[in-house]
Amino acid sequence: MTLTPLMRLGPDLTSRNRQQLLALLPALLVLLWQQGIAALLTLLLSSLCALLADALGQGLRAQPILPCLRQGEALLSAVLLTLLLPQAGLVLGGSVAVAILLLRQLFGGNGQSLFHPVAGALLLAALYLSPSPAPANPGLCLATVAGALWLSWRGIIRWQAPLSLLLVVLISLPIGSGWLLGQPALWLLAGWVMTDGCSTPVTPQGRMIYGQTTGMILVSVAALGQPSSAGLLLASILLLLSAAVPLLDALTLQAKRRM
Amino acid sequence: MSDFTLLPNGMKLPSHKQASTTRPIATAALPAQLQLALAGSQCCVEPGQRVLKYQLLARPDNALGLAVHAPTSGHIHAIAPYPQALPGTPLQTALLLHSDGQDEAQPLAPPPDRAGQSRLELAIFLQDMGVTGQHGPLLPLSWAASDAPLELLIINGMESEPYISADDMLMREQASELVAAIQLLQQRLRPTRLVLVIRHDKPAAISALRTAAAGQTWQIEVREAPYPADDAPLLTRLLGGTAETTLCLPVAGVHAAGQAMQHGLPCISRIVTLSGAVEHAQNIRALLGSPARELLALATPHPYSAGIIHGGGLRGFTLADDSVAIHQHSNGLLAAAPRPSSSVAAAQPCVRCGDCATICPSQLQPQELYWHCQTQDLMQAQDWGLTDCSQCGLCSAVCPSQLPLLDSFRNSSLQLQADQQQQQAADSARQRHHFRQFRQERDKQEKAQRLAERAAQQAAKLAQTPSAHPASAAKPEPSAADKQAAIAAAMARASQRQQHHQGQTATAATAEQDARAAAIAANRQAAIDAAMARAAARKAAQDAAKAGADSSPSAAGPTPAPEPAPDKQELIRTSMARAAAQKAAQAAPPAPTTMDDDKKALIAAAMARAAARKAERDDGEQET
Repeated sequence: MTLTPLMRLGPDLTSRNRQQLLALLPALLVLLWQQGIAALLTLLLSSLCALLADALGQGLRAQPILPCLRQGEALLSAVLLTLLLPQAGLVLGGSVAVAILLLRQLFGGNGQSLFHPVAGALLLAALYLSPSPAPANPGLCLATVAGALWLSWRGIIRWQAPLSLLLVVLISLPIGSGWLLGQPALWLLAGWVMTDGCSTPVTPQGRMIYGQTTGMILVSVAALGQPSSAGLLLASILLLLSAAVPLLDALTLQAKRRM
Repeated sequence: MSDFTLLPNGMKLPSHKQASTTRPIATAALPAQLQLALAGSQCCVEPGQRVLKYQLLARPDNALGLAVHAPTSGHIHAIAPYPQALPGTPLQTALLLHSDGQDEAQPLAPPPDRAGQSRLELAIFLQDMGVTGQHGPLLPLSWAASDAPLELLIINGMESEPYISADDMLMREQASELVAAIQLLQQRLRPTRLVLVIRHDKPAAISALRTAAAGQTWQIEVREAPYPADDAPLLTRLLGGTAETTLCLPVAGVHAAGQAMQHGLPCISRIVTLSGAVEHAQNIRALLGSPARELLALATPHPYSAGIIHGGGLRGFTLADDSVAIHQHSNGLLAAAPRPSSSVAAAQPCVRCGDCATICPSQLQPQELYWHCQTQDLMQAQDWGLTDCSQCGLCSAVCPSQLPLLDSFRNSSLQLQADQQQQQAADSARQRHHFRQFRQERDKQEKAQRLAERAAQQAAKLAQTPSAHPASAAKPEPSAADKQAAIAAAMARASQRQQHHQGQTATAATAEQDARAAAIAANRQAAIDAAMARAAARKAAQDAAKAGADSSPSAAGPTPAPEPAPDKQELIRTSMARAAAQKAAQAAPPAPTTMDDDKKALIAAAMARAAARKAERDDGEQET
C-alpha cells in the first residue's frame, strides 16, 4: 500500500546528508589549503574505512548495502572526523570503522543509535594519540561557522542546542573560556553532532537544556581545569549527555491529556 | 498573489491552483454507468428496475446517512459491494446504475413551505435531498435537534488544499446562486453572525461574490491564513467562535442546499478539479458516481502519468483501483506523476529531526503519535492527540524519512471511530437488555400478584359457603405447617452435610483410601440431598405462598382459623424431633475422622432421607 502524498515539502534523508556534506566543503578546502596532501590522504583513508565498515555492518544485518552507502551517513562521519583530527591518519581510519560498527550498526543502523559515532571515534582515537591542546585555527573556524549558518538557514539543522552551548561559552568569557572559540572542534561538534536528532532531545526545550548543560560542563572543565583537547572534552560530554536524552525527552514531551 | 504560501517553519507550500482555473467549469458527458455508495442509507429500489433522474434510490437510515437520488435515468444493474474512493479503497455496498442515455427526469416535488420549517425539519429536508457537509448531512441532525444557540455561522470558502480549485470556480461562476442560498440559510437558521470567509488567493471569486452580495447583511471576510486554513476547528478559532455555538459549512454544500431549498433539486452532482500531470487542467461538474478514470480522461493525462490521486496534493491518497466512482467529497482527481527513482525508497526509520512537530498546525508530536498508532495503542494515541489531528498531511510531506504518518493517523482514527461506534452499540444493547429484564421482572411480579388475588377471592368464596366440608378448608393449613417442618429438616440436613463435608476435606489428606472413597460418596450424597432439599424447599415455598394467600382472607373472614388436625400435629412433632435429634447427633462429632463416623453419618443421612420421603408420601396421601 503506497499512499504517499503527491507533494513533498522537505528534503529526504539523502538530500539532507548531501547538504550537510556541502556545508563542510568550505572547511575542507581551508584544511586542504593549510595542510596539503596529508589531510587529503587522511580524508581518503577515513572515508574508505567508514564506507567499508558501514557496508560490512549492513551486510551482517542482511540489509541492502548500496542505498545505505548512498545515503551518506558514513561519509559524513568520515569527513567530520578528518576535519577534527587531520593528522591522525591510520588511527583515525581504524577508529572511524570501529565507531561506525559499534555505535551505528550494532544499534540497528540509521536513526537507531543514541550515541553519535563521530564523538565515539574521537574518544577511540584519543587512546592512541597524545592529548595535546590544538592550536587555534581561525580560518577553519570561520569556514565551519559559515557552513553551519547556511545549514541553519536551510532548516536542515536546529539552532537550539548549538546556540545554547555558545551562549554559555560567551557568558563564561570572564573565567577564561575564550580559547574554546578558536578551536574548530567546538564549531564542528556544535554544528554537526549536537544537531543530530538521534543523539539529542527531540523538543526545542530539551535541546536548549542539552546545549546549556553541555556548555556548563565544558566551561567548568576547560576553564577551571588545565587546557586540553577541546574536541576530546566536548565529545566525551556529548556522549555522556546522550545517555540523558531519554530522560530529557520524557521531561519535555507532554502528552495532551484527554478531556 | 503568490504561487506559494509560507509555512510556520519557513517551508514553501506551492498552491498549484493556477492551472485549473483558466477554463470555465465544463460539464462531463453522461457516463455509461454510475456507482452510488449506500453508506448509511437504505436502498429502496430493486435490481432491474428502471429509474428516472432525481428519483429516490436510497433513504437515510441513520443520523449520518444521506439520501441517494438517481443522477440520470437508467436501469439498476446490481446492488453489490464495490471498491470506494476512500483511503485503502475499501469495499462497500453500492448501487450500479446503467444509464440509458435519455436523461429522463421525473418532475421535481416543490420544496416544502419554507415558513413552517424548524431547524430540525430543514436539516432532515437537506438530508433527504442528499446535501452533504463535512461529515454526513450539511446540517448535523444532533445539532439541529438540540436547542444550542447559533452565534456564528461560517461559510467556508478557504480551500487551501494545493491543486484544488473546485470551490474557487463555484464561487466565481455561481456567485448569485450562492448568495441566494446563504440568504435562505440566514433566514432559516438566524445566526447572530454570518461570515463567508474566503482565502486571499481567490481574487476573482472575491470580486464576484462582493458584487453579488451587495446589500446583504452578512459579511464577506478575506483571510490570509496558511494551510490548512479550511480545517473547521481552526477556522472557528480564527474567527473567534466557540465549538458549541458555531457551525462551519462548506461552500459546495451551501450551494447544493440553496438548489434544494429553492427548486427542490436533489444533490446529484458536484464540481471536481482535474489536475496534476494532465494537459488540460480544469474543473468539471460531474454526476456523483461517475468513474474516476473516465473523468480524469477529460483532462488528457500525460502518457507517463501513473495512477490517480483522489483529493488534493497533501490530503490526497492514491487510488488502488482507478475504476472507482467519485462521491460527495471528491473535490479533486489528480494524475500522479511518477516519482524520481531516488525518492521511491521505502520509509526509513525516524531520525528525530523534529520537522513534523514544528510544522504541525495542531501542535501535536506526530513522531510520538505515529509510534503509538503503529503499535495499535489507541489509548496512548488519544493521549497524544489523535482526535485533535486535522489530518492535513503536512507531517507526511515534510518527513525526511518519508514515514506514512498521515495514512497511519487516518487508519487509526477510523479504527477509533469504529471502536467507539461498537462501544455505543454494545452500551445501547446492554441498556435494552436491562430494560427487558426490568420489564420481565415487573411482569412476573404482576402475575404473582394476580394469582394471589385470584386465590384470595376463591378462598373468600369458599369461606362464605357455610361449612359444607370444614376439613377441605382446614386442609391447607396443616399441610403448610408440615411443609415448613420439612423445610426446616431439609435445611438442617443440608447444613450438617456441609459441616460433615468440610470436616471431611480437612482430614482428607491424612485419611485412608477407603475413608476417601467414603468421603466422596458422602460428598455426592450431600450434593444430592442438598438438591432435594432445594426442590422440597421450592415446592414448600410455593405451597406456603398459596397457603398464606388463602389464610389471610380467612383470618379476616367470619370463620376463625381452623385447628390443625391431630394427625398432622403428630407428624410435625415427629419430624421436628427427628430434625433436632439429627442435629444433635451430627453436632456431637464435629469432624468425623474415622471410617465408623463416616458410615454412621451416611446411615443417619439415609435414614433421615427415608423418613422425609415417608413423611412426604404420607402428606400426599392425606392431601388426596
